[in-house]
Amino acid sequence: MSDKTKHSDDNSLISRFSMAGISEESLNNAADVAKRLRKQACPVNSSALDPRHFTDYQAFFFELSRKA
Amino acid sequence: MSIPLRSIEEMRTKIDSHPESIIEQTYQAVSNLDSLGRQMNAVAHVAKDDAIARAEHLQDTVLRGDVNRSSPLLGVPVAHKDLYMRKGWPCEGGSKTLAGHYASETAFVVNRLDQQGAVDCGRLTSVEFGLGTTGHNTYAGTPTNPWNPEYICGGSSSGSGAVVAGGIVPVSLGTDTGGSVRLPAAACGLVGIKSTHGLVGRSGVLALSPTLDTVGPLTRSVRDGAIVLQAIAKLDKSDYSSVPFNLLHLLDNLEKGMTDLRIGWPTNYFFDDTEGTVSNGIDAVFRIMGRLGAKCIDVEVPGIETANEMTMLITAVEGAALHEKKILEDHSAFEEQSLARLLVGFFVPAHDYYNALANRASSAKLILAETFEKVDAIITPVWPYPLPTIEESDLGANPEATQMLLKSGHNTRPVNYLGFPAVNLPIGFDRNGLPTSVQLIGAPYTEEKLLRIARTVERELNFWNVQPRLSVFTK
Repeated sequence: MSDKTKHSDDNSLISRFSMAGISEESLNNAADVAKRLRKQACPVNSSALDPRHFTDYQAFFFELSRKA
Repeated sequence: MSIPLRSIEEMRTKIDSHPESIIEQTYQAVSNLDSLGRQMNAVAHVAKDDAIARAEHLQDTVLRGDVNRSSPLLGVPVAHKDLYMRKGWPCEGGSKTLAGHYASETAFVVNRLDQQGAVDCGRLTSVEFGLGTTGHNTYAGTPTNPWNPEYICGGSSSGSGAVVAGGIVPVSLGTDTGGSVRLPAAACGLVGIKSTHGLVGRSGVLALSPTLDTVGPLTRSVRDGAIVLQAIAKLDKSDYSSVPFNLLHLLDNLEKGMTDLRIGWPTNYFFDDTEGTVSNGIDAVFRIMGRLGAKCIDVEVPGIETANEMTMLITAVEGAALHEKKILEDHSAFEEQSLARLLVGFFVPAHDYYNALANRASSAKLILAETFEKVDAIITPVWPYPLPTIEESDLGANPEATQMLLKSGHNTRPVNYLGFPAVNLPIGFDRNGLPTSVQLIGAPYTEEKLLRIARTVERELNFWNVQPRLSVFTK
């Protein structure tokens, strides 16, 4: 996703929630925090991720509970 | 004001010899909830009539011999965080958005405790929907710490921490999405158990982040925590994450010491930015563990560095999804800080949320293989700094508290991301006379080992030889 598209997504969200009466300052702060969190949380190389990992987690815990 | 701090086992012993004490103990609990509990801002609802009726029924059945008297919770008064539903009782989740809401079902774990003979006495203050680490709540009230009312109880199970530390009931169930059982347990000098993902059913508990939420008890002793965990750990068919795993021998093994166990001191992440007085206290306990026979070694926890932010990201997205409709309808009904945290979730793109979830299994597998093959538990701080006062941690009045509060879940949130179990154990007092503690983290479904370690250290330290001076609450 390009930065331009991301920016446009943020603007449409800000517009949507502004209409509900939430201040633009609060929404911009939330967008900034989200940007920082994403940067800190996702240094993982997403190309290395296998979609199966999504369901793997629950299956992994079922397996562990049987072995324990 | 003086309240005898009776453990579950002490209450049961009294009930065995004097069954009529079921009503007496219940009456004391609801009276104290109504007085001291309310003075501490820790109570959302006192169910006096229901609790007394339940106690009378139990007492009658015991006196008639119509009940299994072996249940460890028979006649024991309990009260839980205001996220636990009981059909027909108020359930507001600490939120004005649910003002006047009544529960339409009873939580799985509340039913489990009922089946074991517990007497449910009410609901306790929560941070709004469990979304906060300090306990601040302008709608439901900010609970004050029984050790010193100027200080926070931690959150989000803040009322649970206050009421159990105040001796009103011996146990309260809290919820833990990023530390909400362990942080108040640490702040109030309690044992707090964050259970393994899937071990304890969550149906009928108001959700914050369904992939991270867990259920666990706050108690004054390790034995009480073990009794309650054993009672509630059972397959919950209405909870997708629930697994069929029973902790059958939890109590049998509790007193066996830890000479066969290995404790790890994490060489990365967990002690980053920890104040010296906090890490010194934990180091002293680590040495005691070695003296008590455990093998103590340094150990790395690979890949843990991003788990805190992963947890915050997932919680924000799932919380935003759960509350979107209400935010759009009336955002002003939310606490200012809760709303700020929920709004973040709308600005996280789907692919980042997906990646955070998709990385979970590989992170858990890596740490299981690299860390928990070498040790049975790691020892870490819970709060990385001495407990703050209510005033200095109030973000609304004190914006510079932001950095301090961001660090509050540094050591607890990663455990929720992994889904591993953890236990908070009180170990002493800081320079302000507030409790200090350690966190023990283990591999999935190793609660038995964690509690065995905690019990062995608890016997050595006798934390509850000192008790809160509740007289400061007497008006």
